[in-house]
Amino acid sequence: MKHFKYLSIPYIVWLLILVIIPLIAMIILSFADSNGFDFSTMTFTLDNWANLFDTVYLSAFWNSIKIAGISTIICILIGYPISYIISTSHLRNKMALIMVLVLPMWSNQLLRIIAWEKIFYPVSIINNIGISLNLIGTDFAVIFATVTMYLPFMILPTFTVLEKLDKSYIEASYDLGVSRVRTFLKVTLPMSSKGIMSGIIMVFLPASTGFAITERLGGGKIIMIGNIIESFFKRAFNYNMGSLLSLVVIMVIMGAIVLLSKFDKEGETLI
Amino acid sequence: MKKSKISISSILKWTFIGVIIFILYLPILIIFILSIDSSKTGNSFTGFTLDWYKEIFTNKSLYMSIITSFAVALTATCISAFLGTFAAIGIHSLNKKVKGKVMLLNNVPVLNADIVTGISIMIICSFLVPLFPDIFGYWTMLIAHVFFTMPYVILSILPKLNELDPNLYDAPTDLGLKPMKALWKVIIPAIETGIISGALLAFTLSIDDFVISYFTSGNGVTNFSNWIYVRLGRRNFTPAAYAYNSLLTIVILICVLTPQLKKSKKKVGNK
Repeated sequence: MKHFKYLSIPYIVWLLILVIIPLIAMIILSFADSNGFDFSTMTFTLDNWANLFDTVYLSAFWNSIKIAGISTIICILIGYPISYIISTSHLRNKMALIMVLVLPMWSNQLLRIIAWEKIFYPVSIINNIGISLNLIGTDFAVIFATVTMYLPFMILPTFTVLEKLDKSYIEASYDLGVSRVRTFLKVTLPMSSKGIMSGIIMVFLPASTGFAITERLGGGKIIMIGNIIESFFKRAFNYNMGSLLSLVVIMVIMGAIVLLSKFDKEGETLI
Repeated sequence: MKKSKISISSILKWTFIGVIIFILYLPILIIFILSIDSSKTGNSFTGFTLDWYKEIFTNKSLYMSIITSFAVALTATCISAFLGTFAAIGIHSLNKKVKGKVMLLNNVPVLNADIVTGISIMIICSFLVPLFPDIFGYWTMLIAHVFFTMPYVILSILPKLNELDPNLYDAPTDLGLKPMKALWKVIIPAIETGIISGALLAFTLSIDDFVISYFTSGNGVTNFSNWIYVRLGRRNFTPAAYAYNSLLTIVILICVLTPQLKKSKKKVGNK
């Protein structure tokens, strides 16, 4: 099939254009003071870079890492056991149960955030059943919503690897007199680490860079880096600082991509 | 003794899964309650109504945003599935070293933050505005959606290509079929399941997209998620959005779960 190589060229060109040109534009914009995307009137400045270590941005970065990190850990602690229980169960149709767990993703994500928002305010429809919550603006509300939003992304890859895992390794371990706990720690867990790894990436990256959950549930108190970038591009029209912060996000993600390629040479673990 | 111990642990296991399912479905339940609640603010349940379901068909800006969502998702899915198939075959034919690099590039839209992808496409498209003044809206959203869905199509086709017998392509060409015809008649039918699952994934991601469309929509053309976002907390928000989402969720639940249930029934029959 070697002479189908050329079929990949248009796609590579398309990717290069859509990845590289905006990247160059962002680098230029980050060194400039410009009026929107108007490159003709812009002036060179290093102010944006000098402001990068402003406490506002540092605390936003810290918040993103903290909230996404805690949410990812909770997703592992809930998602992995669920995958493990289902894959080791004697259910006839395990896939149906996994589908039940994944289906809420098909309901609009913004409306699901609003649903939590609606019951996290003290006055809400759950007053009718005698409950009143006051959670808007707390880390708990943001982390809770993040976990419910991204949990399916942890369940899917971990379930897939656990299902593919050759059960005879575990039986061999039992036959050799190794206890259940040790077998889990020494055989099952290492053999399913690839699934956990892609689960972590699929939860942490969107959770740390989103802005809708903090926007609706943070009550203006919890600001993540996504909120700041969004306000620079959509409200303040300061594309220069916005570009610089986007570049920082890109660099962090590039690091993650390189790390992932160390784990998986073919780059095909993601689904 | 041992038997009762097992049943206690299994009760704990299934209650755990039950609680998680309840939490994942709670927002969907709340959206449904809000869709039949006559109160417009959704802060208390004031009575049963079906008016919001009727409003889906009378509120022009709402149904236009729904139509846009479907138009963008359908066209982006078709383009991604069609071109993605050829791109995947091309990438598969590359030698290992080049392939690894291309896959790294392919993973950029998958792993990159939605907010950065959205801003990148916004930057590229604003360069095109002098040439095509009305490009922002449907066309920019389409470019963005093809950009971020095609890598997923490729990721779901490549494993199928790896499973293929390398001789599968040689046989028809040895029998005198032209390469393109061999591709069309032999290779593509063999990777059909990968194409279909990639297309389904692309459609799901596209129809529910919020962040990328947030930065690439314009000129009054917007999709359902963004229709909600710009109206939240304003007067022109209407619970008809809840009604539409509830309808969609119910349809998807039925479509996905019926084949699964049939499958498990069949298995019971076989036993």
